Amino acid sequence: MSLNATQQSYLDQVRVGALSDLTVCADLGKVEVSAYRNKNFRELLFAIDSTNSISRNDWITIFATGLVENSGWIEDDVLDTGAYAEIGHLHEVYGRGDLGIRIVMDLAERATKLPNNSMSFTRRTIRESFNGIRPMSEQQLFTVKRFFESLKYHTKEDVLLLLHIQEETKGLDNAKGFDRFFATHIRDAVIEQSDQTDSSIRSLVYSTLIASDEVTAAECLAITMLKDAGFKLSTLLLSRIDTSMDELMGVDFDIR
Amino acid sequence: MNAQLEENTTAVNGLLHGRSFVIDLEWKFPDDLDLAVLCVGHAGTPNTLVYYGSPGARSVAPFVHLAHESTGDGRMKQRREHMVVVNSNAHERMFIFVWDHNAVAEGRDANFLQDPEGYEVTVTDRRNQCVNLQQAPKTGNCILVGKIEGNVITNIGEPNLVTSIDNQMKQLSIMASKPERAMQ
Repeated sequence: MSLNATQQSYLDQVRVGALSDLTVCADLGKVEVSAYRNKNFRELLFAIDSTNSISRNDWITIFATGLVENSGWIEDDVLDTGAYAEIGHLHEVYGRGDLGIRIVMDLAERATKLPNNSMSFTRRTIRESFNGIRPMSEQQLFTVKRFFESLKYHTKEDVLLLLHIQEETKGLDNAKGFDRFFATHIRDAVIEQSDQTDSSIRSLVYSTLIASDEVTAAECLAITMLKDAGFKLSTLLLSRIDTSMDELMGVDFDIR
Repeated sequence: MNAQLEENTTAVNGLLHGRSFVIDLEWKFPDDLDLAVLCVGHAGTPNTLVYYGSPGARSVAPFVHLAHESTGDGRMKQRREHMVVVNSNAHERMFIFVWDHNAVAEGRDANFLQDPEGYEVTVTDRRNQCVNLQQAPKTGNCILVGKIEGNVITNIGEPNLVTSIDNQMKQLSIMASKPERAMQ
């Protein structure tokens, strides 16, 4: 960590809620764009984001737009490989903030030439942003959807990522639309593979849904969608819906 | 009041933000440690012990779940356990325990002193604020590491000798009630 005493003090105040969203956004909104080229300032931005306590839309402009436009990470539409190393390091040190996925996605969409590890870095950032206590917020869902909707097809890594997100957001107040997002991509991943001899994704999905310790509305919806798509499902898998329906009475299945 | 207990129970380590947090146990020594949380219910509700034998749940009570157990053997062993607390408000207070699995089964001291920094318990809230609970008890095989009540996390570090894992719920409940008695 290389924050100076003033920056550290500012960060501490943000973390304990002593500074309002409005104040933080006003303070950082005044900063010259040249400051974004300063590694120390970028560290402060990531540290503040890691506190997950700034929810104003202005923060997206300051953090995500500011870094994409002014950090120098993108030159001539080429994303500097050092950007991932710096982001990865700051996330390790401070933890992942609300806009951790957003900045990685914004950089990937803005640059036309990306480092070779771009997909794996994005997946890792998404994966490690969900640790069991962070729900899928509207902002996160919007960004995660952008990643999955940009895929030509779902790889096994993508399916593992979906299952991880679902597992790590169980019992939390996820944004409306999450259940359908999860179920749709799980169904599509299985459909994409249905004409191939390799059935590893299908096996992965079925075995995970069968073994799930707490069946959620998202998982029930995924099983229902697979059934409706014409897949012959085992009695064991179908029974997950039956056994969980009573527990899920009153849950909004979010079918839109 | 027992001076040692008073000292232990008044040592507030930090304030947690929100009602959700994760508790991580990582260790180097001894071979197999277990992480457990004793959830003391509000008036009229029973206590619940969340541990490897009863991993809890996130969507329903106790809203605490042991997410990852240690896996592997020998040098490949991953010495880490990870507990997710989805809703701490569901309980009046929670006590965090760490015990040496083999020493408890054999009813002997764990001899944690062989490596005073052999284990570390970290509590992380949604603001990525971490509180480290680390002690080096001289005796016992089961440590009452800390207490979470409301949003206050307190370091305790009280060693105890547990002789049976079959009735650990009862023993841990007694253990957890000691600091409470001392504060009365």
